[in-house]
Amino acid sequence: MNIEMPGSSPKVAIAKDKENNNRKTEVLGQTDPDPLSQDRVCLHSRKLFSLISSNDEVSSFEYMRRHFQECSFCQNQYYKLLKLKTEIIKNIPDVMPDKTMQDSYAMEISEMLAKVESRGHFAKKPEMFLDKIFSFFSTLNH
Amino acid sequence: MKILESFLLDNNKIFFGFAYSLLSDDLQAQQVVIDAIYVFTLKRQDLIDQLHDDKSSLKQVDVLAQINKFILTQIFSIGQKRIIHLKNAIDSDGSFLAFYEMNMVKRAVIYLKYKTQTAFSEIAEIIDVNEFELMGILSSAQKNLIENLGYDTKHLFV
Repeated sequence: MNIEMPGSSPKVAIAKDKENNNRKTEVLGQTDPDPLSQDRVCLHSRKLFSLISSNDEVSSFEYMRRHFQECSFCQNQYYKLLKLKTEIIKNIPDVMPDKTMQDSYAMEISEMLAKVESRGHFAKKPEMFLDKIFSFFSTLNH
Repeated sequence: MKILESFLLDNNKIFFGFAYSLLSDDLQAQQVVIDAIYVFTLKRQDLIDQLHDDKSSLKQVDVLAQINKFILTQIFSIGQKRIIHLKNAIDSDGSFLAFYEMNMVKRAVIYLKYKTQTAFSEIAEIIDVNEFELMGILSSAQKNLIENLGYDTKHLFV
């Protein structure tokens, strides 16, 4: 005997799927209707993330500024992306070495550079020596 | 040599931060920075000479910028080799998981882009790709990081 549960019929399952598909997705805690389902989608919004990622170049911002005043879709997307950029920066580790590590680093660097300096003196000596030889020969020629 | 020493000490925060973003371990990061500087002293004596040569055609600031780029390149290169050996040994403390879930190249690009003043062309040189490839890497790294943080990016790149 087949007992059909009220919520388990295929029709109900399909309806649930549709409902899930149509459910508004949340971005940064705000309900975000599917932009593709809106009446108006602006192609300029494709450039927004590149604009935000660029180093605030005035020229590129000027180019979009007029458009922003007219297009509410781009405005909304722009502010969402700005918030996301803040999130990205917040989630990048920015660790500083502690005092002990800084001290050991300073010591290693000074030792390393002292070696380079002594090596540099040795490297310059033959050069100076050659200069003297050449100047000696040049005096002989005269 | 004093100029170089103070430059290296002042920039330790950037070097260490970059190495840490690649390896997620402070001791390893410190060692990679020191190794990178050691490679610099061995390979780029010309830059050290230019820095102390008053007659050099390059300005001191430009030489220091070149030194900075060289050391960052070395940190990336050494870090890439070291991570292969350390993959299982590094014990992440669980912070910045969304960031460390990305691969090393993406981490490097994101860190240099957002935490340092490195120019786009220089980032490309540091990670050894061309600028078009870098644009793709940056874009997908940003998308990955946002997704790893749990946001839906489906409608953000319409």
